[in-house]
Formats: sequence, C-alpha cells, structure tokens
Amino acid sequence: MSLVPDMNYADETVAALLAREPGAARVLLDHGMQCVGCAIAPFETLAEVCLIYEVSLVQFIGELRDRGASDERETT
Amino acid sequence: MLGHNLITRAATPVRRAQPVGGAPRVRHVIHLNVQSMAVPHDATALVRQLATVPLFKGLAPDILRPIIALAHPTSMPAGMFFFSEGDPAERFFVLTSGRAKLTQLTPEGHQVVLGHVGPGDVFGGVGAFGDPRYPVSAETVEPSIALAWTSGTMQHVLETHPTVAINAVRFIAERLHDLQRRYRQLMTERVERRVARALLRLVRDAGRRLATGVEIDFPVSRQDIAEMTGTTLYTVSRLMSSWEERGILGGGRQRIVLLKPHALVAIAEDLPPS
Repeated sequence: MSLVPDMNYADETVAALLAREPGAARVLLDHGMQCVGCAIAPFETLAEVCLIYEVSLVQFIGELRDRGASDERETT
Repeated sequence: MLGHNLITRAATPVRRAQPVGGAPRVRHVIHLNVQSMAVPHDATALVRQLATVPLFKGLAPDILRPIIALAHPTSMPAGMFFFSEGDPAERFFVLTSGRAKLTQLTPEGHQVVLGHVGPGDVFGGVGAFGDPRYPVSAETVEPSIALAWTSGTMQHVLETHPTVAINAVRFIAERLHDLQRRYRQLMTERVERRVARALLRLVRDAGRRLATGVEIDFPVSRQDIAEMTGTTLYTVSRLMSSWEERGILGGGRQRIVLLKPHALVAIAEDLPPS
C-alpha cells in the first residue's frame, strides 16, 4: 500500500463515500467521527473531516482500502 | 469528653426510601464505625473546625459548643443516601468531610444533579424552615461525615441565635444565585442548540458548497430562523452575531454561509469542541 493518500478518495465528500460504500460508517465511527447522518456530510470532503477530527488522512484512507479489500474477499 | 460523646452517639444513617416514579434501587445502608473516620476526636478541635463553617461564622466558642453537643455525627461510605427525595425532612445537616450530590429524579426516572455539597456546606435545611419533606436526595460521592440536628433543634437554634439565622439566609442566597446562573446557562444553551439545528436543517435541504464554506442557497432572514426555532428575533440576532464574530458564520443580508460547518454541528449536537 502506498503511503501517499489517493487524492480521488481525499476529495470525495463523506456523503458520497457513504452512498458508495455504506460499510465506511464503521471506519468513521472507529475514529469518533460524527459524520453519519450529518447535515454537513454532503459538503465536507474526507480530507476536511480528517483535518477537523485530527485523524491522519493517510491512515484513514488506508483503513478504507483495507475494508474495501476485505469486503471484496467476503463477496467472492 | 464532648467529642467522645459525639463519636459514640453516632446516629443511624437514614434509611433509603424508594425513588418516586423510578425503579426501586437496592442500596444497603452500612453502619460504620465512626471512630475510624475523620471527626476530630476532641471537642476543642471539633469546635475549631465548625467555627470555620459558614453557618456558624461569628459565633463564640462557648455558644457554638452547646449547639454542637446537640448534633449527631452521621458517616456514610460513598454511594449512600443521607436522605431521599420525599422523605420526611427530619434532620438538618452540615457536611464536615467528604462530598455529596443533591439530586432529583425526573418522572421518567432520570437522575438530575442539582448541585454538590462539600465540607462546611449546609444541606437538608428545609425541615428547619417548615417544609415537611426533602425536595432532593443527598447521596455521598465519597466517604462523608455530616453533623445532623433534628429539624426542631435547628429551628430552636435559628430562633435563639440570629447570627446563625443570618448565616443560613446568606447561604441560601448564595445557592439561589448559583441556581439562577445555571438556569440562565441552561436556557441560553437550549436556544443556541435549537438555532444551530435550524441552520443545519436548512443546509441539509438547500446547502451549496462554496470555496469558503457551505451556503444556504436561498434568502433566509433572522426572523425566519426565529420562527423556525420558536424564539425571538433578538435572540437569533445575538447568537448569529456572536457566531459571525467567532468566524463560524459569514454572509450578509438574508444570506447565510457556514464558514466552519463542523463548529455549528458541535453546538447543535453538543459535541466536545475539536
């Protein structure tokens, strides 16, 4: 895994992420991020919420990727 | 001698009544050996300690001594009740060590903490002023010792020693001030949250992303917000102006931009500030 965050991911809004990948809610909750159901979720990008909650964007995106990978394994 | 009497005459802790409207809680009152606790073992030390208690401020030791002789020391481990809401207000307490919280139960059974008492504080005073029942419960949060007088005894003390009566009024006035301050905070915080939520509702339905933040994409006046939240234009103006000063909101006439959307969410949802 690259240590450079995937910029496509970083600029995606939280609402778009959750619409595409509802399981991402788990990663948000694990970091104490109150984004699920938030009125601001359609307007804030992952890079912005990581800044607000003082979470490393690299680590956060890494966790999203790991999660996606494990989901894929489960479905195949 | 007096101190020794006080210690051996340890009063029975108040029985725990069932909370009004809530599930009965099982709490066993433990009878403690008061000698192991922090009541001074000689009368002089006790008089000296109680002379610093606001209720007895200004009393000469020879006046204080017989008053103290009428008291029953009551000691409690943490989590026990000196008295419960609704119990007959039979005793008047001065906490000499430890800490207790004064609570009420809501009709839904939730406990609300109304205040704390520490060493030197008076509690359970209503009986001496004629109220038949305690309006609150007094629960220890750490091992505590209180001196207790029967309400009749304390009423007599208040009648015969104006200094004590004036001290009691002063103490009650301070508590009233404290409650008024907390009431004001509660009222303003509630309105603040309502207004923040209203702005977020508008953002949810009509938000538009700008480079600087999130705009509510139609004209919204402060009067509109006041009507959405059941408060006054004055209150909305005051809140929104303070949020503008803090850099949370921007915009202009009938135009609202959330410059720090998360700060507003934190207000609306009572999140810890990040």
